[in-house]
Amino acid sequence: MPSASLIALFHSPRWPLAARTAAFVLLALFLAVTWWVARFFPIENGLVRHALAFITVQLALLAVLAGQLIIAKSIAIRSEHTQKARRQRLESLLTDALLFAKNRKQLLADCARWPREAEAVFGSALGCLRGDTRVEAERVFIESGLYEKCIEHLHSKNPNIALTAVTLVREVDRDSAREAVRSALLHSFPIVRLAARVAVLKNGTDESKREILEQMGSLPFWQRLALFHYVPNDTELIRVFLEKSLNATDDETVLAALEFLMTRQKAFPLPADLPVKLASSKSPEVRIKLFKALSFFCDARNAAPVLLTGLSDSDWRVRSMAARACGVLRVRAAVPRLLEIAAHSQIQTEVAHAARAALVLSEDTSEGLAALAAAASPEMAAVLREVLMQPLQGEPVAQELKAQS
Amino acid sequence: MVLEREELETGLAGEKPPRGAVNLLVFDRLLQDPHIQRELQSTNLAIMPQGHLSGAAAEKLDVILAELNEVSQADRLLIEQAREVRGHDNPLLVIGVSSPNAVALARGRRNRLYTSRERRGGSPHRRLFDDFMTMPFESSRLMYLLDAWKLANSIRHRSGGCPAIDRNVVEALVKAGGPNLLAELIEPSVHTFRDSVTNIRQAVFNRDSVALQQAAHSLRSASGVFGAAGITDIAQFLERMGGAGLQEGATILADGLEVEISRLTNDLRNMAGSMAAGVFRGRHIVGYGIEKTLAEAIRTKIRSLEGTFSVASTDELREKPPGLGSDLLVISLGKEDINQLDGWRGYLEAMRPAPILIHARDSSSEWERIANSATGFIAPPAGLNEIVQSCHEFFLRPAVAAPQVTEEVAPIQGPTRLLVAEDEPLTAKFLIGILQSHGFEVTHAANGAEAITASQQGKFDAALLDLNMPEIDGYSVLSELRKAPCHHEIPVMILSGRSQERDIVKAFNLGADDYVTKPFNPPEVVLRLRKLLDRR
Repeated sequence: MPSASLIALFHSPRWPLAARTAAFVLLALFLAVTWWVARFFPIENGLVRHALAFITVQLALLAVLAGQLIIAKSIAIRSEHTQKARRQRLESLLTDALLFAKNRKQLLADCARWPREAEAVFGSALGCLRGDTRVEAERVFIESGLYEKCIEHLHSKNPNIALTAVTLVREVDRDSAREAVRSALLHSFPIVRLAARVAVLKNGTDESKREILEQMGSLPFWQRLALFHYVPNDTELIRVFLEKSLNATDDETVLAALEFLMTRQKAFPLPADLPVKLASSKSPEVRIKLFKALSFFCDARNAAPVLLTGLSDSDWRVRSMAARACGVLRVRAAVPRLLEIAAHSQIQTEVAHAARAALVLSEDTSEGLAALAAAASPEMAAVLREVLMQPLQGEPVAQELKAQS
Repeated sequence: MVLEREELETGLAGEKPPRGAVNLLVFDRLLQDPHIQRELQSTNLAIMPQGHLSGAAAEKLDVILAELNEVSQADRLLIEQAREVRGHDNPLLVIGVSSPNAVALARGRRNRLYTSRERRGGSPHRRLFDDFMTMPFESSRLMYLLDAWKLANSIRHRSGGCPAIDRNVVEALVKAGGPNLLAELIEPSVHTFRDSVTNIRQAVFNRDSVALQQAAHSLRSASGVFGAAGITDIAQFLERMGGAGLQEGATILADGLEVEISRLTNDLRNMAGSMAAGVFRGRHIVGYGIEKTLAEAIRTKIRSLEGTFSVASTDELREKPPGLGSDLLVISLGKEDINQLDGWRGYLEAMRPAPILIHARDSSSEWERIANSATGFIAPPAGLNEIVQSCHEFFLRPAVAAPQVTEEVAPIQGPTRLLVAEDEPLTAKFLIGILQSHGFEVTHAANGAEAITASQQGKFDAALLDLNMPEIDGYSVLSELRKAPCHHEIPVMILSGRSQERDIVKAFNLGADDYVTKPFNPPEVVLRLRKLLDRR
């Protein structure tokens, strides 16, 4: 398996060193060959002799490379044709076995002969079928021995092989498959671990899903976002996860929970003491995300006192998000503070959020904002004017109403 | 409310149910058309001229057939009066007839029948027309609409007057059918509604008219499937509204939507539950080894679904095979039975082909040894719902379903030419294999362009289209089919991995007759296709 070893080398931490060493060795080899070839040219001038040798070796090298490419391509094309033909045969046999209960023995024999192609075919079949036909496909997959092989491949050092195995094993509705996929969570390659997490969220037990959710805080941001998509709409699971994570002492875990909330537009009951606790967090990221996610909680209107505190936060990003939340949650008590921010802040984003929220909460503020716009610097005036006059595109009725008024 | 599935299906199958005297008022311009006269003569309806709209005879009207451009504001008031006289229990049906453009005009906000104030206020009387027909007029279409509305009114009456039920709901229910009714049809829409409430709130705050329009459009499209009058009106109102007054109105509307959603959800859940009852009606299930409390719960549940359930003793199991005279035998096994698995396997082999479901109480890999010998296997942990659901699924299987269903899967008479557009080779193989085995003559197209070419070169009786295809997608193929004179009326089923509400609604709007999401069950696709073909 030279290709498998190469892939393993590409993904290993030794790859940069190996690549550098290989480059030096090849260069040395090239120079040595050039020096050796130069001896065969009967030219006295050493410089010309070596230059000619240099060109000759390069030309020879290019010719060898081109020849190799041509041969490799033709082999690849032939191999693709062969694989395609094998796949087609396996597909036909699988169709016969699943729909008409025939050619099963032949299918099993061919699966043993061409396991790679068979894995691809079963991957497609398990992905596109449901009902009794799918159950039957699963049975044939297990009977063919590919299931057992995939379980072994889950721990392969080659990440591609392990990935294929994870995607196949996760389709099997068995406890042993779920356990096997769970073991792949400890694979040395991050991409395999991610695939295993996805598999657990799609087809795992409640307990393993809970474990994955609990580890969300330790994962990179992009992985968290990718995984949130697969979290099932299981109210109990989500409730437990949010309750635990939002009360965690670790900022990253809290952030993960708040990010998760924003990916679902489903209201989650807001624990009474949570906003106060998170609003006093030392991490500005937590405070920003708290106010961003506040409107995704139900009963968030109770958080009005915390929102007012948020409007006086030392970080302008926190203040901006708090202002936005005041508008969405209709916290009318915040109007004076919002106008104050709009009047005194030097940060355009913050002014825009505060002014927009103030306008949403009370139309009476429009005059005050207009006066502010008249007195403000040109940049700030432009921001305030945009808030006041933002045209609603594609609204003929709005224009009609405007014209009527 | 009891919803008869057979009633739904026969009601829409085009077979005319026995009809009493139905008084149909036809507007003058329509009556003067010789083609329409001929078509109306072929029905057994009592035809009344437009003059009867203003007289005492208006009280007796059942249906009004109006030419859209001919209806004046005065006519509208008369129709509304007649409608009020009839009341909600037995409503007057108003059908508008005209060109497709006029239909759009009548539905849109530029409807000249209403004053601008009425349009702005979102008046509940804005929906003058219950349904529309486009030219050329066909009596069969009229009869279909009358039957469908009659059925919808009957369901609405029995459901306690849910405004969300109309002809579209009935059609959608019949199309969806089966145990997945709730999952396929109702829940995605309910989620869309719920999400839209949040989206509308966000969009209003951000003064984002594009997002607002999208949310409103999504609501309207979803409600279009159900014809939920309240939601459609709210969505249209939102779509019309600009910045002025939006903030004030949005919260109230969002709250109103939530109420509407919960009512709609409950009504539709009840309907789904009633459809499930049809599956168990008259069925007898025997249980063995089921724990006493669970058995009692199953008995109550099955009884509520109009079936019967009893528990068999070990002696009965030994002495009275096969199946103990039941439609289904459920055997519950626990850890203590693992040592006797070989004996159980022998029993199951001997019992074949009696239908048996094995319910495993405890987790063990040993169950695999006998799972294959039974008709079905209920994996642990399984409680009341899982067992009832498994029985439900078992009764819906073509091989064991009621006689009329078995009849449906029999090969059809004469070859039916079918266009299958599917780019994924294995899916195409499954489809072609099973369809050919059921007597269809299948032409396969591996992409949209091939499908269009095939449709131009041959005549098909039905089409099965994937949506995501290279070159030209399934929507375009569907549009082309609907434009072609020889294919504009053939049944088209969509089989796609896209399961979002907007994709389904778009496909139906473009003229699809059914929509199945991947992963799919091949026998179910055949059944659905047969149903579509039978209905034509």
